[in-house]
Amino acid sequence: MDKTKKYMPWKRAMSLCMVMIASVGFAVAGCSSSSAQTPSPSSAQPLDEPNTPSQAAPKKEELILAVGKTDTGVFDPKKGWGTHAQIRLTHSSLLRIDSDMNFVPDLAKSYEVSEDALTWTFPLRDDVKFSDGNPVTAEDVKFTYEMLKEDGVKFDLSFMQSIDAKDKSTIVITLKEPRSTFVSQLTEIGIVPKDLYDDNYSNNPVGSGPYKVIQYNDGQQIIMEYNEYWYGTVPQFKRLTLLLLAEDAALAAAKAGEADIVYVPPTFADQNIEGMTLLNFESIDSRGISMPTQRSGGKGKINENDVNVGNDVTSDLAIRKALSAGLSRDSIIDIALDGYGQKAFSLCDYLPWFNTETVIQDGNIEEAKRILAEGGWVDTDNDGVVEKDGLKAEFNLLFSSSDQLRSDMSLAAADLAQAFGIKINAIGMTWDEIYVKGKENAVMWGGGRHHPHQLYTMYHSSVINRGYENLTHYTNPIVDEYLDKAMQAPTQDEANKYWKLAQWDGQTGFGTLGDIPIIWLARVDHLYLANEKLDVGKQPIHSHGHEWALFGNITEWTWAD
Amino acid sequence: MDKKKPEQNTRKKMVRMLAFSTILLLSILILSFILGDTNLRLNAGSKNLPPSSKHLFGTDWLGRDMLTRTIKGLRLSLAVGAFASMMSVVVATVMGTGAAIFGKKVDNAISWVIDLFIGMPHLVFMILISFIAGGGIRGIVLGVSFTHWMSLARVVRAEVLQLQNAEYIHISRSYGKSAWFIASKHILPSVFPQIMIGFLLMFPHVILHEAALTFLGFGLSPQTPAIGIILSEAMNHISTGKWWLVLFPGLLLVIVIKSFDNIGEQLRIMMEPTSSNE
Repeated sequence: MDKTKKYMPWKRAMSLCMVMIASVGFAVAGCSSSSAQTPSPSSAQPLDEPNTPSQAAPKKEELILAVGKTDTGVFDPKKGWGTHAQIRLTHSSLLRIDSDMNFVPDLAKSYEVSEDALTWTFPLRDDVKFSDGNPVTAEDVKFTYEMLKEDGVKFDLSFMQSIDAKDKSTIVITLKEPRSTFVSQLTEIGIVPKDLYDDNYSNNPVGSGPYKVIQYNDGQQIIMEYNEYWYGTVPQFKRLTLLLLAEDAALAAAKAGEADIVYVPPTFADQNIEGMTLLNFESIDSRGISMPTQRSGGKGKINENDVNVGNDVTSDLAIRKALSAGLSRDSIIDIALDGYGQKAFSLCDYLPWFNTETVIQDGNIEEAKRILAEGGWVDTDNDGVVEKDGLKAEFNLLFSSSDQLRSDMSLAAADLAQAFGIKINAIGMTWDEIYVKGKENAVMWGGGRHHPHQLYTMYHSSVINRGYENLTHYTNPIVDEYLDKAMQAPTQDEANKYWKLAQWDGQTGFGTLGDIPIIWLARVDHLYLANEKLDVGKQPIHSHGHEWALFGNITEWTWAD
Repeated sequence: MDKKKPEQNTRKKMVRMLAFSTILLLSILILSFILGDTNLRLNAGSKNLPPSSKHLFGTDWLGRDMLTRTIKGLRLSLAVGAFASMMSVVVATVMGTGAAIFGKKVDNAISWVIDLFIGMPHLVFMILISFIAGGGIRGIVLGVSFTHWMSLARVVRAEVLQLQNAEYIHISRSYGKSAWFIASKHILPSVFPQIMIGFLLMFPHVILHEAALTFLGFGLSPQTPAIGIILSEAMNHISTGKWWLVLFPGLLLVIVIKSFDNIGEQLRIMMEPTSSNE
């Protein structure tokens, strides 16, 4: 759950304007670059292409993308560049994830972990250069990690004892304690140049990814060009223009033939645009309802602000269990996602650390009623809402009003919960307001990563009051212990064992059979309308954030002429 | 004879229009209570249906009946509109009377405030006020009422100034009647029709601005069926060809506003001595 997007009331008007501005912009850009023999950006005009018949038709080298408002924490890892898998276009990291979710070398040629899992050694490639031509050295890696460790806001590296450049091309990282999720962080942290990095890095980013940023207009567009020093596979596309458009404006751009690939929400998925096809990628981008687990009256913090904590209704286990069993996840997906989604029972469904025992039969209204009755919730005054000791089973569910998907899902959940006597008031707010009231009300929450670290930050009691982690104030010593063990496990297998136990160990856990502080409902399919000539290769299962999830394999993208 | 007939017709026409507008508004109001909430339940089976005999206005992307949503949205808009107009009428009356009664200095100050408020762009000012007031219905009501009182305040001020110099007021005063007596027994009854018509004419204005504010996303929470929100939500779907989401609510909003405008205008003509005999 990391959308920090501010609520922009005039975004609709703006986005319309932006389409117009953008289209004018293209016209101008097209004119000025016509001498460079690249096909005009608005490839909708086939006239430009077969210019000289003697020459082979030039390959399409430019892509125009409108995959969302993609510019949170632009280009600077300190501002969060990398936390949503953004870095693959502009930066390289020690390791990366391939399409089958394996950790494979990137900057590092290989990596070696000591027996006790405390010492990690990375021999680095020596042919890697930043886009300004300077080589990427061990010093740059050291600098990046130390800088982020010291900062400690976006990446938690506090468990790192030291990082040393053994020689020019070897990095040795020593940990204070084993950390099973460290390997994922190695894929998320983009390396920045030591000599050039300063507070102004966002405006002048230099990285070692396949592309370099040549223009960034705040909130409007990012233009990237191929980095000629790139060490990997040469991508077909030499220029990427990312239009930062809202969803409806992006669709309009696609209809006008001005974009080659656009993100579409499920409500737009049935659109037929000539020459474009719908791409549908399964994701672990999950949505669920966070339910405060403490009784009301407490105090706590969200993002350093003092807030009230606790809710007498949602803290009752019977309520949470009834909702988890009674809400039909399929119905919610049908209503809010037009069927473009998968049921979710946890934050990590069907990933290697998912406990498959926690798959339950949902949409079972009778079961929900039974659970409520057992928990002492009965409808005594026949108003359709159950009560317990005079307390009505009614609570507020907050959602970001600028997020159509969360808003539709909230309304759908509220509608379905009526069937077994729980009254949910879905209330739209800005994120700023949610970060004040989110600990005393339920929130339509989200998350999902390629690694299990979020299980720790969403369910461990030690992170309560840090940022918006563990929003529900869930506290279970047994779960804490499993989570600690999972984090400190020396091998992935052992870590996965403990991640699974934390979800359900037969007695307790945070999964659907246990305490369910967050009722996960659906995984959202990522939908894109793409030109049918564009092949985006084999995509890994997408993580939270449809914007950047797409670019993990950008160098494999091709255009069939 | 020749002259009289068309005159009567205009007057009749006026009454007819007035009756039509009133009935229309009343029927919307009554309908909003009759239509049940069951039509607002989400339904995957009836999503995005174009208008038909079962769903006159079609259904939205969550399968809710648009007729029900529109009517209920209009009721909310009418309620908010009524309240906000009332508030601004109160502000206008207080300011207008104050300017007229309390002498030159106060008059100057209030006139200055009126000029200031008129000089500011309406919408921006409203957004500002409703934002400061913390959004929600309260924000909208405050925002709208504090930006719509100026012209009525001027009318009231002029009217009261004129009345104060009227002979019967002088006589009343020379009989030793108190200021309160004069204000409540003499001035208020004469100004009241002006205020009433000001209220009615302000009403459509206020509803429009309320819709504009909610359209822009200030104020009401998105699941509230306010007309502005219905329209702004529909904006997201108009690009996919769901025209009925915008057309019918928009049309109905225009008709309602026109009706109110009509009622106010007709009443004004009928009450004004110079034009009432037309």
